[in-house]
Amino acid sequence: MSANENSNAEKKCKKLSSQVVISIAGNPNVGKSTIFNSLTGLNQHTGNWTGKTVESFEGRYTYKNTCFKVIDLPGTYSLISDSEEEEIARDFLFFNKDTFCLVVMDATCLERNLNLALKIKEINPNILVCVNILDEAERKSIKINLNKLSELLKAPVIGTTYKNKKSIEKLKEEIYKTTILNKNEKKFSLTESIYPQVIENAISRLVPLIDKITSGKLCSRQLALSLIDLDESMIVSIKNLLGVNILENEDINQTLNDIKKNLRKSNINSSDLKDIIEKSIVKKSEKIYKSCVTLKKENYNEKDRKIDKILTSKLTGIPIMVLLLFLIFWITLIGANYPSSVLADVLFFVQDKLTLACNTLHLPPWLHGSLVLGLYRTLAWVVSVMLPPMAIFFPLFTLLEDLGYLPRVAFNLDHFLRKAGTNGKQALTMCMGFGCNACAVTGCRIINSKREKLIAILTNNFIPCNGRFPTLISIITMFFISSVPIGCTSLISTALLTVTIIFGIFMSLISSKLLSATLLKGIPTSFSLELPPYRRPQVGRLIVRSIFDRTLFVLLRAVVVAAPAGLLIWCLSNTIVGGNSLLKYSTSFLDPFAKLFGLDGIILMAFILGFPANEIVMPIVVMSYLCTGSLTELSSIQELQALLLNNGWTTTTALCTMLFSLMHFPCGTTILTIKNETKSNKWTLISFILPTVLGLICCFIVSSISKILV
Amino acid sequence: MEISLNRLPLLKLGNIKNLLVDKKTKCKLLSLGFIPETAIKPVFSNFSGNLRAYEVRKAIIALRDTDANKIRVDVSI
Ligand SMILES: Nc1nc2c(ncn2[C@@H]2O[C@H](COP(=O)(O)OP(=O)(O)OP(=O)(O)O)[C@@H](O)[C@H]2O)c(=O)[nH]1
Ligand SMILES: [Mg+2]
Repeated sequence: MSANENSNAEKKCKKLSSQVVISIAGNPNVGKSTIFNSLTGLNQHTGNWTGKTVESFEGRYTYKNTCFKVIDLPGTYSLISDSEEEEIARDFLFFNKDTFCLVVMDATCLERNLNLALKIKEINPNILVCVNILDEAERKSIKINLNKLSELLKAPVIGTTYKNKKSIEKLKEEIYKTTILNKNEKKFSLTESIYPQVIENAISRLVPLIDKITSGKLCSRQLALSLIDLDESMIVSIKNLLGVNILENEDINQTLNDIKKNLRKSNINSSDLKDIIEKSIVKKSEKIYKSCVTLKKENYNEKDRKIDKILTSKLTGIPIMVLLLFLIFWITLIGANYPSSVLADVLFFVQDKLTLACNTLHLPPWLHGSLVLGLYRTLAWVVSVMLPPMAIFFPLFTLLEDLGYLPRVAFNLDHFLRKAGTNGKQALTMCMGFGCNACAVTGCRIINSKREKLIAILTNNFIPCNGRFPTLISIITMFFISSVPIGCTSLISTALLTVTIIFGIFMSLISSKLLSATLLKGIPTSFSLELPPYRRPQVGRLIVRSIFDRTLFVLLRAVVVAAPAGLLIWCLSNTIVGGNSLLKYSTSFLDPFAKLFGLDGIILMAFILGFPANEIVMPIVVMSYLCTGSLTELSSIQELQALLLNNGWTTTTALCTMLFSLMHFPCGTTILTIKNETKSNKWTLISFILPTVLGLICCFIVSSISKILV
Repeated sequence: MEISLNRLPLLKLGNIKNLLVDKKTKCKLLSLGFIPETAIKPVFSNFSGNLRAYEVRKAIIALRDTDANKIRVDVSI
């Protein structure tokens, strides 16, 4: 529905002649994407941790017959870029100084947020300030005088809370008023001097020279500052944009040398410059903060610290983490059980009806076979097996994310990651991997060191994504808990699943270690991690968001792949050449190789066909067995187990299939994303080979051991 | 008395004096709020003790001891 809303907005926008561009900027985790979503009705991902958004996103809305184009930027701590996503935000602000900027601030952490607001205002005076998360501030008895803030910042200020629809309407009105109505009056620049006099003098000497080169396109004041400070990444960015290296300009070079002399005379050397610049801004924001904010309780964060103690301490930190993982899987397993079987009943009932219809219409058997037994049946399988666990897992996981738990996981796991030669932020990307490996690979941008980022990208695939859970779960239920007394089956299977996942995490750590000891040698760089305050999530909104946005999206992707795959399998198994079906030929070709690793030709082929989407691996295995055998109906897990046993599955086969599912080449989408992120064929190839080889080794060991034992 | 930040005992206040790090790290630390003359307090540590969370300007930022030992703090407040 929301996507619809936005396409409506797009249509309306086309009719309107003018368009106002607004960028949303601010510190990480202040609710920028949440505001973006409320404005545009889109479903940009949000989450209570630093670095949720790593790319800029666009959306549109109309208000009072005006079209607004909104750009959601990644959060930044400063405008001195440090990692890729911060550079995106900085470059946007810098090179689009005529667009209007909505600066979002977290009411519970206003002082630090003011720093960035002041810096942005230096580049672009056209800002509107939005003090967000007022509900949490209220809970913590933090009182903010918004009028005073507006007066001191010389910019319109508005308070918002995502639960309060009115505040969003007010925000829209305020944006409209500032951009359209008093377009001319508001253009004032912040020329009051913030910095010490020597620096201010230096800036005013450089500004006219810069203006000459850039013809006033860029913010010369800020550029002057980065020249004085020799901010290289900025100079490179400008070179990319204008095609000139500013430092090669004679006048500028001379003036800069002169400025350096002056600075030295006033006892400022270049290494102190950053401190001085930063300190001046901090002083100013401190002053503003003190005159606008009153705290009823000085130690309003006390409660958070108490929770932190429990979640991160020596005794309880790791056990709670494992327990939470267990709990999520357990709820997913028992919750999905019943809906899955109901869904299967309904979908297979429809299959019978379809068959009946085909018979009455006297359709040729091949048409019925390929469409109903091939395409439809595979689809039904994928939907009934995948939809319920996803619809339960995603909301639960988003809940943890919104509470603010993930950074604590990173905090706890940093010790191990440090041992593996990388950094704790990799834990955040690993967590994202549970949802989708491709998203996680993009998320690796939050890691600033190139080496550590590569390691995180290459090892992410050991974390099974949502598409691989159903495979793991169904194998566990069929082969490993049949002898367990009824009543605790779900507990045992959850425990097994948790162990499997922890093994995946372990392999991810091992391969990180392996990489950082061989191909990607280096010392860990500096590492900092923000632990945001715990926030109360809005459960209703969260469920709707994660089901419509993530679950259906992933399901659709799987369905798109499953349908042709099902068709292909049916065709292969029903095209008989020289007494045998094509399916038989291809699987018996793979068979000897697969047997070496405890698998069989069909399983291996399913993994290969599952390259576009891992979700379809198990359905393809089942389909292939069904097409070759006489069975055509499968309604219970016992029948499914019987089918697999009939086709030679043993506990070893099950174990090896699970291991290979955990450790094999990434899916197509992930590979493409890796190629995009690393821009290197070599690393893309390694990301393909590494998990596959490790997986095959593990399978080989397991199957060899079982051959010796049996 | 000046010591490195990683030696500041838990829950004891210090005052940041100096950041003895390379330029890039300095930018990062400054923008996170590790600015000279700012009060700082270690609030909890992870189980290995190598990573500690610091309260600085009302935000909680975790640093490894290898990074924290390059930050000098004054403990005489
Ligand atoms: N209590 C409360 N929580 C909010 C509010 N707005 C946003 N949040 C929560 O704050 C967290 C961060 O929101 P995001 O929109 O992802 O923040 P962001 O600024 O886009 O973060 P980055 O993309 O990392 O820069 C989410 O868990 C939101 O649910 C609010 O008004 N009140
Ligand atoms: Mg965001």
